[in-house]
Amino acid sequence: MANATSQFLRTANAAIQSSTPAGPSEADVLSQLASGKAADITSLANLMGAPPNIIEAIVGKLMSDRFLDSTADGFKLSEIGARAARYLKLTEF
Amino acid sequence: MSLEIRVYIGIWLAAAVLTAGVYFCFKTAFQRRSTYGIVVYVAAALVQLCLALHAFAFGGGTTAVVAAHYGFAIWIGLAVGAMEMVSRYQDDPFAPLVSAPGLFYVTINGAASALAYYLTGPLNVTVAEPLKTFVAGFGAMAFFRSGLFTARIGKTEIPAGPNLVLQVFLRALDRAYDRERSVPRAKFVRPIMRGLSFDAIKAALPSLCFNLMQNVSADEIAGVNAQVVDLAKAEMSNEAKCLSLGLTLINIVGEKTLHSAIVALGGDIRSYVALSRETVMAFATIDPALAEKTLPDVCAQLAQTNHVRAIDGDQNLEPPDFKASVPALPLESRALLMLYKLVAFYGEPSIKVAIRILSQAPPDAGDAPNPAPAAPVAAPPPSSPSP
Repeated sequence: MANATSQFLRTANAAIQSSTPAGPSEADVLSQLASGKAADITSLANLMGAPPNIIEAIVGKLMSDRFLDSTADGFKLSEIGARAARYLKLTEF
Repeated sequence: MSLEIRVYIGIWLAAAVLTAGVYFCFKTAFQRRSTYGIVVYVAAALVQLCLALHAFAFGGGTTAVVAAHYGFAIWIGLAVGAMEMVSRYQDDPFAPLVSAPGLFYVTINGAASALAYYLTGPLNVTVAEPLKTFVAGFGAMAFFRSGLFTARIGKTEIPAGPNLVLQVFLRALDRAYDRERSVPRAKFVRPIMRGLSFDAIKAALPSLCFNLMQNVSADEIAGVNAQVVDLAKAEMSNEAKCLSLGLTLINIVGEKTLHSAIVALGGDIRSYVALSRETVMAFATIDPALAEKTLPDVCAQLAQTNHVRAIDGDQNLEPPDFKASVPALPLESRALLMLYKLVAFYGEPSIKVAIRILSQAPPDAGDAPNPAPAAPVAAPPPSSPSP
């Protein structure tokens, strides 16, 4: 299990590293999720104009860091994720 | 040693003790050391005046006259040396006069003049004694500032002669005095330039400072403007740029003018340092109540280690109260305000380490009366960038 998680994180990290600099950040994805306009990878990718595999990698990282909870349909903001989204909104300048 | 000589030495010592006493009694009144420097030299001039009056106006005798002439010759040397000092350090011109290196240099000049006057004694020159004091005083100064020939060392040409003696002392003085002045300069500039936005002050602050002054030369203004352009292009933090500009301006306009200009410009020149998204997201992983209770303590503990220090650098510095004192605000807003204060005090990299440490603590760690030692820093996940 630990090996699988580690492998998943390595893949996610490699995908993020290989993304273009203009690609969305974890905070961008969180902000979009907090706006309620998208709740799955496909709609997020469409909304943010980024390849689905990149969004998938970022979502995977956010889930591993407890920012997202998995649901039957996909994922939703966890308590920590919701707090992060509120903080990001408060510190937006 | 005759009684009169002893009396004169006593008068000088009494004047020195009196001046020092005045300084320590009214220390707070002397906001700058330059004020004290002026007082010391005015007091010394008054003593010399009393000696001269005693010798010439009230018939003090042969020894009194000789002492007064020596005093005049010494004063010429002291004045020339002091003028040289005053012209060298623009930010606080009279301060070198009471620094140890400055006093040493001025004393060398006074001693050279006294020696020159002593050497003219055996000469069978039929000139008035006051003229001899002038010739000895200024002659010694000219002698020690003259070059007999020009030596070429590498690509530079250096006038060599008796001037080399004073130049060696001057260079040593420059270094010693610069080191002595660097600490108070940094202590003054840091608090008043902290929190300013370089983009907002780069044009307004020099311009206002120069307008407040009346005798800043065009060359000095051009020099500062050139430095502002260089700083704007430099890859430095906003804080480092502001500090550099502050130190540059102090050299020309002094501390009071710089302070007045910043006060006059008000809040328009204050900067807002945004927290990085990475820090905000890391902070969100901690319960805000726990963060409010324990994060300042974790940061304080970290500041005592070798690799993380408070920005102010003083280990004995008492940390301020970081908790946001606005009870009406929601808990998360108060926690964020506290985070801003902590970042301003300890720096963002240190806060990231503290957050990482705190994120390993159990949720009720802040309520424990005797908390267990902090858990070791967890290794960052493979995808986390290093702080």
